[in-house]
Amino acid sequence: MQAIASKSNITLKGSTDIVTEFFAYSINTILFQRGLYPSESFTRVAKYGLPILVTNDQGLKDYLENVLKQLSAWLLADEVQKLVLVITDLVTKEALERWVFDIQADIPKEGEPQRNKPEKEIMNEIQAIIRQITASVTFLPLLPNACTFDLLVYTKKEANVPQKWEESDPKYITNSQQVKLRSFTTSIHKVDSMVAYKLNNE
Amino acid sequence: MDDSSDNNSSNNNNLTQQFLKTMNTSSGGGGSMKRYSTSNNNNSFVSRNSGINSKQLIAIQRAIDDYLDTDTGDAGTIIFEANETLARQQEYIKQLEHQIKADNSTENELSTKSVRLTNTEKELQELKSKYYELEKSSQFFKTRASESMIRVQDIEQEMERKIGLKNKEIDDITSKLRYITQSEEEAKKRSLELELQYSELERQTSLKLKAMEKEKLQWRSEVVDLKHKVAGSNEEAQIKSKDSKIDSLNILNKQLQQEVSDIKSRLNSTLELLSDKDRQLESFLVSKEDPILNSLVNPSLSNDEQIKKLQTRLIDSETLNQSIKNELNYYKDVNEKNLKQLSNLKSQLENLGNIEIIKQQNESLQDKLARYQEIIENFNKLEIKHNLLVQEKKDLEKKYGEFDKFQGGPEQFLQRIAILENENQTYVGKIGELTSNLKLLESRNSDIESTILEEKSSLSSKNNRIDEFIEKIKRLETQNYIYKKEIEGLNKILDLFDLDSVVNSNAKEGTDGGDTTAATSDSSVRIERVKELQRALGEKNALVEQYESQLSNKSKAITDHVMDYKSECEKLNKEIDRLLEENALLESRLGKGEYDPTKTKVLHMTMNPSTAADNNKSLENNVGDQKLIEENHRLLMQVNDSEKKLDRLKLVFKQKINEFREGVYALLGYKIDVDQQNRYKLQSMYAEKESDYLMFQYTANKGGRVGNMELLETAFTDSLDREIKAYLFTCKSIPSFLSQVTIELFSRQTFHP
Repeated sequence: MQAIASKSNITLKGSTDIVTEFFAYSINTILFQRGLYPSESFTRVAKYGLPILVTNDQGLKDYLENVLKQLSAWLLADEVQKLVLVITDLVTKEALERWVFDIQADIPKEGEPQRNKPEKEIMNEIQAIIRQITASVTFLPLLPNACTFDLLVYTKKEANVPQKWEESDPKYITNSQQVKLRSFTTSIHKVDSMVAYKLNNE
Repeated sequence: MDDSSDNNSSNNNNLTQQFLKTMNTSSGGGGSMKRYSTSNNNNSFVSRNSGINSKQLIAIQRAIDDYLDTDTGDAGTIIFEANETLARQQEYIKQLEHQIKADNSTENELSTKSVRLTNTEKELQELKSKYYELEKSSQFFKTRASESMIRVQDIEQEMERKIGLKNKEIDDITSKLRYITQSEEEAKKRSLELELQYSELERQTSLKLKAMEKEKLQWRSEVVDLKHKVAGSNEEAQIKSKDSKIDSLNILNKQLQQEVSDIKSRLNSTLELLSDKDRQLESFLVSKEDPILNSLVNPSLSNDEQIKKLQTRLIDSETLNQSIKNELNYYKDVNEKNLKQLSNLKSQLENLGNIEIIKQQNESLQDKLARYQEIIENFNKLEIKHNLLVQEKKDLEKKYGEFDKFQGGPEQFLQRIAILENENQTYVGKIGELTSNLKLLESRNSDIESTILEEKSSLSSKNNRIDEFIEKIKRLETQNYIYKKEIEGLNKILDLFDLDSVVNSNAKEGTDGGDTTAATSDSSVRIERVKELQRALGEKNALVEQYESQLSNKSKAITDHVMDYKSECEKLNKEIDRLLEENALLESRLGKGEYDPTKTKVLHMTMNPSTAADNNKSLENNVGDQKLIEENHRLLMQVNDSEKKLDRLKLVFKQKINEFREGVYALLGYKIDVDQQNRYKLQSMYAEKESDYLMFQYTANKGGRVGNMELLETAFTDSLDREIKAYLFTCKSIPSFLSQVTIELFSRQTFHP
């Protein structure tokens, strides 16, 4: 961590690590803020100059670890386009919210000069996004009691599907409203964030 | 056995006789039947007939019983015989019954016939009565005719008597005429005598006159003599006596003359008489042409008046005769008419004799009557229709009176309407054209404005360009100026150089005089240098000019380029807008999570939290919980539905209430608001101010009856008249009070503006 902070040169590996870490914390924040898991199952951690709540649930932890591991692999291979967190109603199986993280990769070619972006700047950008996610609770509609979530990864067609993974439907929201959130870039990966939610006033 | 059989037979005979008797009676009944057929009482006969039959049967039965009672011996044979006879009798009875039935049927037929006959009889009677009436009328006419005949005869007799009287009168008149002619003749004779007398008298008088004239002449001669005598002597006295004698003689003469005139007048009168007589005679002779008076033509000049009277009488008698003749003719005519009537009546009588013809006539007349009734009905209907149409026509005339002035009628009216509609349509078309023109002009205007704006902007940009170019030009000019200065400086330097060279040459000349050629060559070199320099200057100048031209060209090119850039810039702006829109669209799609399935696939872990949750649910959650959740959802849906329904109902109620209130306002003239709990605020349609309203307090009655309304005091109620209030306080009628208020306010608004 200290090493990254001190450096301003960004490699693909470093960028992938930053992005994956961002996904881990943002997913945890969303899950806590949207109340998908009981708040007592979260513990406070300081990250990006913010207090961030991270789950203690072992099952959830394992699941996230698996997903993120795979995601980082895809990121390195430049095969991932999007990561979507879909919140669905447990009973009706209806998609209620979609947290979309668009990933645009600009992978440096051989012999290209190294890119520079101060670590501090990237952290500030990520902090702004986390803050927005926290603040989005104020305008998002209340979720019904029983909800669950799923993580969808949009990959390139040629990407191989590993074990324990499968193709899924995109879980669209009918009659949705979008709010664009901030974005951040590591000069290699650019992540745009956005939340879409179902409108209830029929 | 024989005896008994004889007895039996005798008994049988008795029975048969008895039976035959009864049958006779029945046949008598049957005989009477024919008589009944003419009458209407058939049923009674039948019943009686049947009654008789039953009685007969009973009698026969009894007779048999008696016989059986009396003769019990040899019962078998007797009974057998009796049975046989009975059977026979029964057959006979059956036959009789058949006969009776046949009779009945015939009877019925006869009855129907009788009915028909009665009908015909009635008709006959009617016709007879008609006939009698006609006969009566004919008799009446006959009597009238006879009476008239008698009267005519009487009149004739009277006429004859009158004629006789007239003839007698005529005879008298003829005798009188005879007498008159005789007297006339006498008068003629007398006139002749008088003429003779007159001629004698005339002669006498003429003689006397002659004598008198002789005397006069004598006297005159005497006078002359005397005068002579007087003139000879004083014979005045004698003259005087003579004068007196003359006077007396004159008087005598005068008397004589008078006598003559008298005789003359008498003669004249006799002559006049004579002439009169002559005239009378002539007239008489003319009247004598009458054949009756031919015999009466006798000279009777004596009595003229009588003749006149007779003539007048004759004329009267003639007129009388003529009138009598006329009367005679009239009565003859009357007689002829009566005769004609008689003949008509006779023919009618003959016609009456033919009942069938009358019947037919009657029927045809009835048919005609029925048809006429229909026709009358039709006529009535048509009349009603006609009246209706007339009324309609009047209404239409009233309505379209204006158009009737233009030689109206609905057709022309319709034509006019059609014309007007056409005109209207053409006007509408014109309006449309005009509006389209206006729109076109507006669009053009806007286009022009936009072009103007563009032009302005381009103008400003051009101006800017021009300014820039001017600046450039200035810069170039300054450069040019600088170059010129440089050239001048160079020229000066050259001049100085020339001078130096000249000085040097001079010095050289001074030192070495033979080097003039070198000096000249030096100067020539210098000149060449100068020339070269001048050429360079010219070149430089040309360059400057070239630059300037280039500049101008460039400026032009730049302006063109500017235009191009402008258009391009606009295009690009549009493109940017389009792209932004597209971007927004794509972003929205992205927000939904759309992706290109040819390039992208969506993956997720098979063991993700939702599936885990599902699994957990399926494992842990009770079926009941799920059911509960589902029910909850269902109920929530229901609640939503019912809320929607409620909202809709509220909306509908609101609409209906508004409608109702508007209806009440329009019909009753009061806007009713529920101000507070059970308080009704009524504001009249014709209220003058906003504050003019009535307030009613509603107090509900116990027991669900209609409650009471109480008027609360407001400023407006205080301002009302006592008469109006009386409706409320004395009559206890709120509606009448309200209507009175309405009328009051309305009259105030309408009649006192």
